Amino acid sequence: MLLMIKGEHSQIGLRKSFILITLNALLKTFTRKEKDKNREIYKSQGQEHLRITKKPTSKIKETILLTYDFFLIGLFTIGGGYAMIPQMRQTFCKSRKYLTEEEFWEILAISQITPGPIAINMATFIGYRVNGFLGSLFATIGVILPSFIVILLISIFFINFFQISPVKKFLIGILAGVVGEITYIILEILKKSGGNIFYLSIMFLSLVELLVLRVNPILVILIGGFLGIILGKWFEDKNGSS
Amino acid sequence: MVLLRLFAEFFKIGIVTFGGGQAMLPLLQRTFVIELHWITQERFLHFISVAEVTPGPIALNMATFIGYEIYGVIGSLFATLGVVMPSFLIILLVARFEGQFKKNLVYKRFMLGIKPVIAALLINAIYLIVRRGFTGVTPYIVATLSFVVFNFYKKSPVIILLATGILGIFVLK
Repeated sequence: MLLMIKGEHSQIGLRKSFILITLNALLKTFTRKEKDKNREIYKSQGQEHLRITKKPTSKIKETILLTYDFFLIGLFTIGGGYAMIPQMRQTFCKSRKYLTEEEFWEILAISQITPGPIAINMATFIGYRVNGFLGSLFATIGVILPSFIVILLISIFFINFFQISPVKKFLIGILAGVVGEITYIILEILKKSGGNIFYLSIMFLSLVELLVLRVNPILVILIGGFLGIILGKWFEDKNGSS
Repeated sequence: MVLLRLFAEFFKIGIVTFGGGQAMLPLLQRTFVIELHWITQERFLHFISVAEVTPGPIALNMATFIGYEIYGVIGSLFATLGVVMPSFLIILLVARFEGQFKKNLVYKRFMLGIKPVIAALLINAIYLIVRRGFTGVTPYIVATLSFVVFNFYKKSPVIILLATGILGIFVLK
């Protein structure tokens, strides 16, 4: 009897602490500070650079943080790869300052032209940048876990939570939000390009390839890169980013 | 044996599909529905419809689904590992040697040419989301609203996305 009561108590305690931890995590996510004290991004000669001002507290702590970040990213993106991009950019360029924006877009391009899901490629790459092999391993695990758990739950209990109408509306609402976010990011990138003719014409060409001619995105990237190799000689100074 | 086969099939598909989950679907269908007869066509289509609205990459969701259908939790584990392994190993190699050709002029110019393509790809991503999930005018209004908010409030995108989700429950049909 005593044991039973004891067990019940500890169970309630567990549930309480679980709720507390979840609330705490949510709160921290929403009030995440803009600046990471350990790193800063500074500009010189029109180019962004990354500087580590203070050594990170510990590698293990950083790896756990990385797993947590990617877990959240995996949890909050519906409809696959590209919906993840804004969230990743915000987390790793703005909040954590692991990468400059230019590096981030380069990693995205590489992730697109290598085999496999883009989200996994991005996670492995960013993880490796932050903390070598260990970082890439845990970043990948972090981004896999949410979908793995959700799909397992659906398969085991035969209920599809996500077919319930309000949930579906919630998800489509988030997707609409993501569209707004991506639009905002596109405008930011365009502002940065500064109306460069080379930039605008390759972008226009790629758009025609993608939307009208339905060329495979990998081929579109390769064509852009090829044009960069041929024509880059005359444009790299003006662009200020090569 | 089934587990190894599951792992191998997903590994193979992971290697040969470039450009993410959507490109994987026809291959998955050919392997598991037509060749191996492990899953019925009807079930497969059901999986796709669910995988598209649940969190996470579609390829991973499909792997977990198919794996569970064939061999329970362990099956989904093996399938997921199989589909992740190729991209994990390849990116590990690329990331390892990326520093060495970063100073290479040809690589730099290649990246210079890729930057505008990224902008085009993002526009294409919007087109894909809109074509698949938007019906009626309301989602466009929500998207415009979120765009305006993103211009002013830059602290936490998650709050904005949650807000658009909650808004979606009330205004979407």
